[in-house]
Formats: sequence, structure tokens, C-alpha cells
Amino acid sequence: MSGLAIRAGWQNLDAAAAAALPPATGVFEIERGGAVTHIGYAGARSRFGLRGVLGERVAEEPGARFRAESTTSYLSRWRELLGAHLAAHGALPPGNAEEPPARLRPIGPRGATSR
Amino acid sequence: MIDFTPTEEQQLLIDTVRQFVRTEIVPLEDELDPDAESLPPPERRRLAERVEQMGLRAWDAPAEVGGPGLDVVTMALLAMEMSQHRAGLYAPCYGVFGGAGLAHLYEGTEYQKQRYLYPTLRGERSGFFALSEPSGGSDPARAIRTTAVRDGDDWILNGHKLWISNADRADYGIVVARTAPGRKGITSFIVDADSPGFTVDRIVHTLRSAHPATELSFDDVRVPDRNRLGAEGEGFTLAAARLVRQRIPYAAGCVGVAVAAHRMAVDYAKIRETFGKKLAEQQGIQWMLVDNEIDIRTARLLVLQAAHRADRGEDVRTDAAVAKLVATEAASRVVDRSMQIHGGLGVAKELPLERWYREMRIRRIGEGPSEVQRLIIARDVLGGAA
Repeated sequence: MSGLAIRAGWQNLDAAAAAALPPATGVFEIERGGAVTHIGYAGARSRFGLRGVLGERVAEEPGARFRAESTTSYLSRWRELLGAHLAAHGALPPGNAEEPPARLRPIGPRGATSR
Repeated sequence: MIDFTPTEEQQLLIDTVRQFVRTEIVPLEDELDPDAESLPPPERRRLAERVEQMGLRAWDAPAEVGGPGLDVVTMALLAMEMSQHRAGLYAPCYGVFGGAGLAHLYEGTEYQKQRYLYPTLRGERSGFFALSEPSGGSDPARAIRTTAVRDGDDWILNGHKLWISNADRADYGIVVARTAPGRKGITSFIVDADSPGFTVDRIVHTLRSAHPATELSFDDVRVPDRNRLGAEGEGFTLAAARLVRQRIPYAAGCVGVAVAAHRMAVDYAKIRETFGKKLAEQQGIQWMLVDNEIDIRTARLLVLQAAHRADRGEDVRTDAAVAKLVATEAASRVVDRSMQIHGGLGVAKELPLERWYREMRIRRIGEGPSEVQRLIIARDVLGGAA
């Protein structure tokens, strides 16, 4: 596991797991079939932070898993997770490919797994 | 006595930038994340075109490399305007005014200007400046452990850098490395970010929301000699000159944020009532506002004085240190008082005070901490005895 990865373990994305998250800003990853499909954040304008943002995704992502990390540095941490994924896999997760952050470069060792 | 009343031309530029910040940047921030460091691409393109039409693209670059060639006083006055919004300390106007930000490139070879400087001024490429290391940043001449060893027509770089802004998004960086022992054994190199062996190890998450710091590794990074910036052994001189120059706009940006925070505090004090009186009618608040005013006037004058001397070609090491020290500390106090006057609202992310408070704290450390500025001033006061 890369030292940059979210340390929390993967959980099934369901209403109970989302409701147990803190109503705080932070970052999260969504995984399906062993591959990260989206890296997101709950920013200061989100309603109820990680709890609210992931709660809204429960219906959209049946069968998915997630892991999350509460942080006030959500934008730089989000950028770091995307950069680590880019370094490990050579591309962004499909859910981030359409709107990548500006000028993102790989972060961390090339080819290292971010899992 | 120097009169810093803006000339007609300076006032026109100030009004233009002020209007731009108030009508274009501040309204956008109502929609952006409070910690945003960049604009959505369509907005960025639209505003960059507006800046181009204003004739202020690459605003801090000299005329000989395609900039407007503004004097340092005018640049300081504009920096005080460009920072008057939420992201203004570390992302003034979200970068739509462009500019190199890496002034050493002005002294590069024609090859270096073509490959790095001009594309940067056009906004096509971006760079970072890597001086500080895990072994220290305040005394770089002694702290630098990153080595550059000659190998034929190339140099081989090995080492680590820390607290380096922008490296997670840059196309190249100016890297200061040791080529020989001692103060004169420091040389600067331009390193392409896609060079094998160069790695951005991590982002260092700090109080700052924009352009986060990073940690970098150089593992046998091969750099051609044509990417050596300046003569061998001149790296520290180049870096020191850059640090001195950078301190004036750095200080000016702090003054701008202080002005904006103070304006908010004055406006709020006039409408907010406690114990049956407006805050503005209470002496305790009045004194806080007066202290803000004094801090801002003092800092502004010292920044403009340093800029004026720089325009006259004088050695401004001490003036820039005084300006940087006073402006960063005064602006920190102004933001703190303005936050206090706003009460609970002041610490909420609804207002920009929260971000200014966090990011302003870094300004007393970045570009040489307050203690290093005092060392510089002490050397001048004691005439070399310190």
C-alpha cells in the first residue's frame, strides 16, 4: 500500500455506513470490482460533509465500496490522491476523467499501487 | 519626504484592477469552494482574455520579455489590489494576470527563455522554485545537501527538497543544488518535471489552501548543462536576489488582504448591535479599528518605500526585509482583530476572514521568517558586526 493512500478500510457503501460518517469535510474513494472508480471530496459547501455526500451516493452506487478520511485540507488531499492514482495506474479513475484538476501530475512512485 | 500619492497613470491601473477584482473575482468566489485555488476553465479563459485586453497579461514581467514593464512601486500598488479577495494571498485573481513568478529566468540564456520563460509568461507552462530541504530553509547556503555532479555534458542531481510550492502541477522547476563545498558551491538548474528520477513524493498539507507545498526527490536525475541557470557557483547569489525581489510584492499582497479585512470590520461594526449600541459606537471596538488603520498605513508606507528604492536601483536587502517583516506581522494583527470584531461569524467559512487568518500565518514564515528578516536588519544596523 502506498503511504499516500487513505488508511481507513474499505466498507460497503450503504445507508448505515454513510450515516456513521462524521458530518465533516474530507476525501473519499469509491471502488467497484477491485478498481477505484471515483475519488471525491466533501467540501465546506457540502451539506453534512462526508456523511451527506456519501449518503447521496448510496442509491447511485449499488454494490460499491468506499473508504473515507476526514480532513480540513480536503482539496490538497484530493489532489494528492488523484496524483497518487495517476502515478500508480497511468490514468485517473473513470469518474474523475471528465473533470480532472488543472495541471495534475503524478505524485509518489510510478507504478506503486495506491490500494 | 517621498509622496506616494499614485500618479494619474498608477491610479488608472489601480482603478482598473480594483474594478476587476470586485466585479469579476469576488462574485465568482460566492460560487466556488471556500478553499478553491483555481477557476473553472471557461471562467479562467474568459478572465484571462479580459486581462489581455487590459494590457496587464504577465503583469510583473519587464517589457523586454513581453510584459508591461511596470516599475516596482506600481507593481506593489497593483499587488495590494489583486489580493483583495478570499484566495488573494496565495492565488491573487487565481493567476489570470499571469506572470512568471520565477524572475531568475529573466537572466537565463536565449534557449532557456524560449523553452521555459516565454511559455510561462503565456500561461502555457508553469514552474516551481526548489531551494529549501529537509535539513533547513532559513540558511540555505549551509543547509543544501542536494548535489549536482558533472558527467560529460550533463549534471546528475541527487537529493530531497521540502516545502516546494507548485511542484505537483509544474512542467519544470528551478532547483538549487550543491556543486562544491561552501557558500560559493551552489548552482541553479532547470529540471524538466518529466525527467526520469524526479518524483513529487507527497503534498505537505498545511494551513494554506492554494498551491500546496510538496516534498520532492531527485534520484540520479540527468540535467543537460544547457539547463544550468547562471554560472557554476552563482546559484546562491541568484536565489538570494530572487528572495529579496520577491519580498516586496509578497509584503504588498499582505497589505491588500489587511485592507480588505479592515474594510469588512468597519462595515460590520457600523451595522452590528450589542447591548443596544452599534459596535462602532463602543470604544473597545473603535480602538481595534484604529490599530488596524495604523498597522495598514505603516506597512503600506514601508512597502512603497522599499519599492521606490528598488526602482532607483538601490540595494534593498534591508528595506525589503523591513517591509516583509512589518507587513506580514501588521496584516496578521489586522486580520486577527477583524475576525474578533466579527465574533463567531469571523471564524466561519462563509466569510474570507477564516482563510486569510490561516494563510496569513504562513506569511510570517514563508520567503524568510520574521527572525531571518530581523537578522538581515541587524546586520545593517550593526554595520557588519552582527
